Amino acid sequence: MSYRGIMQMQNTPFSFLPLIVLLLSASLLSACSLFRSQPTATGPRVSSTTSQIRDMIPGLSKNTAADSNPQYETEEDLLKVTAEFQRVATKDTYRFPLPEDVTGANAHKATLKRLQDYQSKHPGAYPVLIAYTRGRAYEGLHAYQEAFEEYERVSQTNHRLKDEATKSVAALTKFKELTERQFSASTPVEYLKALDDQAVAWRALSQELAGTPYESLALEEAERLDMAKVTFLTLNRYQIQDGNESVIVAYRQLLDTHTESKNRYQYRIELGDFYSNLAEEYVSQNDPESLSFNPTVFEELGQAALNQYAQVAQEDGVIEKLEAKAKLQALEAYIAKIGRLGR
Amino acid sequence: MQRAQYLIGILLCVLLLPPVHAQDYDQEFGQEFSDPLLSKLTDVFPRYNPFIALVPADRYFPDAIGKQVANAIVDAYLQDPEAVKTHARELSEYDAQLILQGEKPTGLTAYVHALAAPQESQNSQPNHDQPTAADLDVGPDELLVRADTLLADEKRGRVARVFNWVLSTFDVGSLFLGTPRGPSPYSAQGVISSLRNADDSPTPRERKALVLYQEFLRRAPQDQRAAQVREKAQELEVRRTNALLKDELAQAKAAFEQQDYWRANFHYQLALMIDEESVDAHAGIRQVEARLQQLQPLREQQPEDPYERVKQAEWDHQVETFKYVMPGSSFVKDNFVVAGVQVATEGLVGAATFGALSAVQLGSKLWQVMMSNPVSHEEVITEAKTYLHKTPPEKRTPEVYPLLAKSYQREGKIDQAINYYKLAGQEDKIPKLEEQAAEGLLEQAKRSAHRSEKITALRTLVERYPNTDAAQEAAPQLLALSRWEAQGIQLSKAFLKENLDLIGPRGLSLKTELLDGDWDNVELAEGGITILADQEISLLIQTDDGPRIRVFGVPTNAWKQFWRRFREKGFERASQDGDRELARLALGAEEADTTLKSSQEKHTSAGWRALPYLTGSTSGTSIDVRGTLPKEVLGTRLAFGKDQRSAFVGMEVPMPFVPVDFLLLGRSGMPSLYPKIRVPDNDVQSKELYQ
Repeated sequence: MSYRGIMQMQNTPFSFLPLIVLLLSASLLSACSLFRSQPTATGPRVSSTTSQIRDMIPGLSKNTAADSNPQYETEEDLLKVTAEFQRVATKDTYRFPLPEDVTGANAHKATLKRLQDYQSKHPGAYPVLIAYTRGRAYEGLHAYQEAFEEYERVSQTNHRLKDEATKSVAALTKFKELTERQFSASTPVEYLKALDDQAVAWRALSQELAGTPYESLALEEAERLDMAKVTFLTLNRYQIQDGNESVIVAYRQLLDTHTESKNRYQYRIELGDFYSNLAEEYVSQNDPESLSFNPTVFEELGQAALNQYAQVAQEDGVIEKLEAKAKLQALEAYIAKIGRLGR
Repeated sequence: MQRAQYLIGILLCVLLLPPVHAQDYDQEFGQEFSDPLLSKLTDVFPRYNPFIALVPADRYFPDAIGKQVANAIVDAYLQDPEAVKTHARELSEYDAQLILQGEKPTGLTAYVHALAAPQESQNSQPNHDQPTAADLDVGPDELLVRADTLLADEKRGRVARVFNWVLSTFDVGSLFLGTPRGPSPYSAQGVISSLRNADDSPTPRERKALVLYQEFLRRAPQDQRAAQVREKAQELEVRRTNALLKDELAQAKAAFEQQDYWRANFHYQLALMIDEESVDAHAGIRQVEARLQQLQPLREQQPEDPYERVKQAEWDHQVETFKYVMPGSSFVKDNFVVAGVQVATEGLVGAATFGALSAVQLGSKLWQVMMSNPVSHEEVITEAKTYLHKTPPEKRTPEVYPLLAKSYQREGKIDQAINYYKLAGQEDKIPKLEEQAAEGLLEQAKRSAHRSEKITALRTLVERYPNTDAAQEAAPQLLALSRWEAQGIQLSKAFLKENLDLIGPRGLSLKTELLDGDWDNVELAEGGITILADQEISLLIQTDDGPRIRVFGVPTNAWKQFWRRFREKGFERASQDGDRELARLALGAEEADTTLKSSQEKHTSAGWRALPYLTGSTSGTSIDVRGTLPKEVLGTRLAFGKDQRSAFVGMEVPMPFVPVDFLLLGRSGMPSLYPKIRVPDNDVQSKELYQ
């Protein structure tokens, strides 16, 4: 644009009006969902051009009810449940936290409830698909018997999912065998050995089922038994010779065995708690202001707790970080208090 | 005869009762009559049945589309995304045909697409109330994409903030006319401060990217991009470690300076955990140990005045408050730089900017100090309480009580403040404090979403401050909330109008005429209905005497239908808007004693909070006030004020397709147009996990 043109525009009072109208239109357009980030969800977000255009118009962008066709409500309702379940159900629950659905609820439990609602709303619709989905939801909740029954129902049909269901029945039969296995123990040592044997069996099963969803389920079972061992030792540490040392060894074994577990940070905090408890017990048995108090022993225990908490507190992106930071603060105050008294 | 007299007496009583106004209905129905006759006389619309006949469930007849959908689900379960995509494409084509024929499409295609790409649908998660761990359970490619996006956002944000200052001189309108204008001192100061304070610590966004890169490397160490990713991760990790180390050393140093050697030792130990070869940490520990050896005899020699620590804490608080109002040396330096730019571009007139800008900021901070509590009194309270514990009452200095009372008052702990004012003998201050506390509780009750919280706040108010004006207001509210007919989830009339399906034939099966505005066929009042326990609902019905409550038992199937629809709606809202309120209520994760309001009612109750938040600057020659409209009103930014040229009113105009917004200022004569690079507005989720 030439200088003369600009000067002419300056002398015309409404010469900028078209520009203003253009910019305001642009503003309205850009306020729409196409240009701004939106929470993505299962369902008609990935939509046709028609709905994308509708998304551009404020006030209409969330009117998904208009997309529904009552003739296909049965299918739509089923797709809502299965698409959301499929989104989260493939998660590895040994390594990662339990899957949550969009409402924040346990995805497996919520799916079972939604399928129950579906069956009451559309009685008799898609029974095999529902049975199979229920089977997957149940197994995610470690309800092996219920999952087994649902898969068995599917495996007795001629449905396309028959083969998958049969495989699941075979895997769950092994799960049931292990969970139902009885073990007797008359001494703590025998009990600990039985727990170890059971955990070994689950680990072997996880290797056998590697690459399937059952691998992580078996590892979770093994982890549960390893944790049971720690709990048993913690509860009975006064009755067992070298009880405290046994607990620490068991915690270390747990941490070393389950380096990829979603619970590994929690275990570390718990080990820190254990050291902290030992420090408190030492203080209650040895008055810090008396001569029996050995600051070195206390500081070693405090330092051990500090190491465990700090490792978690310095980790990014894990939920246990906040807990560990708070515990570090509490430990800091406690060590300072006892340290002053003990000097 | 006696019975007839009795009846006449009752009727007279009923007739002589004053009319019940809308606002009084709660008190009126606080009464319960044991006599069935009295109950009948006071019953509202005794023969009225609000329910319609139930609609039987649809019978299921699968057609070709149903089979297509079933096959798509099976293929998804069999991990065959290509087959699912084929189904989606076929459905999409079928929909297109239907549209061409003027019929309604199936509406299923998008769901089948979601089945095909389950991971894609979780790129951004709905808002969470609680912090959530990094979502690492996605494919390596997705991890990399997310990490790169975070880094790119961070880089864009940094560059954009600096460039925006430069661009703020670019009045495009004036530039076209050959009269470019000077920089805005207000924005300049922010940039200068941020540049001066910039350090190498990674931001939460970068730290989150690091977590994602590390997970990628763990999962795909053989990937061809791994070497490049490793390089980026190493660079970020070094910066993160340095930042952690620096932070621990700073805390240790601060503790050491305050002679808190145990805390210093603790942080030096933590520093050694980060870098066991840290020279500073080792030197610090040696210093701490040396000081701890000297400390004991020093303390023994100098017994201190027990009140001295309280005085020190009070002094420290005053110093902190002063520092808050005059935030360090950078405040003066920054303003000098800004003033320098202003003088350079506007001549001596611009020098007034320095003084005016400083005055505005000082005034703003002073106002905050007077009106709120920006600097905590906790330290003073702790020291004063320690003094009280250690000193017998007869030896205590009387100064401590008013000091504690005032500190508690500023902290908003009115009960403790009252107690200490009593001990200080300053009882004249108590009534005003009580009124203040009572109003606070009343406001708390108003803001609480849950009935139980409201009741707790109101009960506390009435019990503790019965003689206040707020208590007079609280008592009827408490009475109304405590009635059993109100114990449940209340659905306001406006909410029901927005969600007719909840009470329609597939929901509670209530008559729609309850919401048609016609009082002759029974109309719900604004309060709507309350879903009670034990398969009952209470309807708040409009009458000539004001709203009246009536409780109805709900048919079993209608009750089941309602809850089913409620759960579905909760899921839909969570999927579409990330709003989990309904879902939490439906799943029992939240106490079912809240009121569900329409979007309009929510905005109305938000009231003044919906007003834009305003900031601004002023100088000897100009005033510039800026604010952001609420999200519901486009969320755009507004500005008004006056500069050397004229008064102006403006709004921000976001541009589609390009990451630049324009601030358009309308004024007499030529408008001004300022470009601004759009800074990523989405803050990293669960920031506290990356700090």
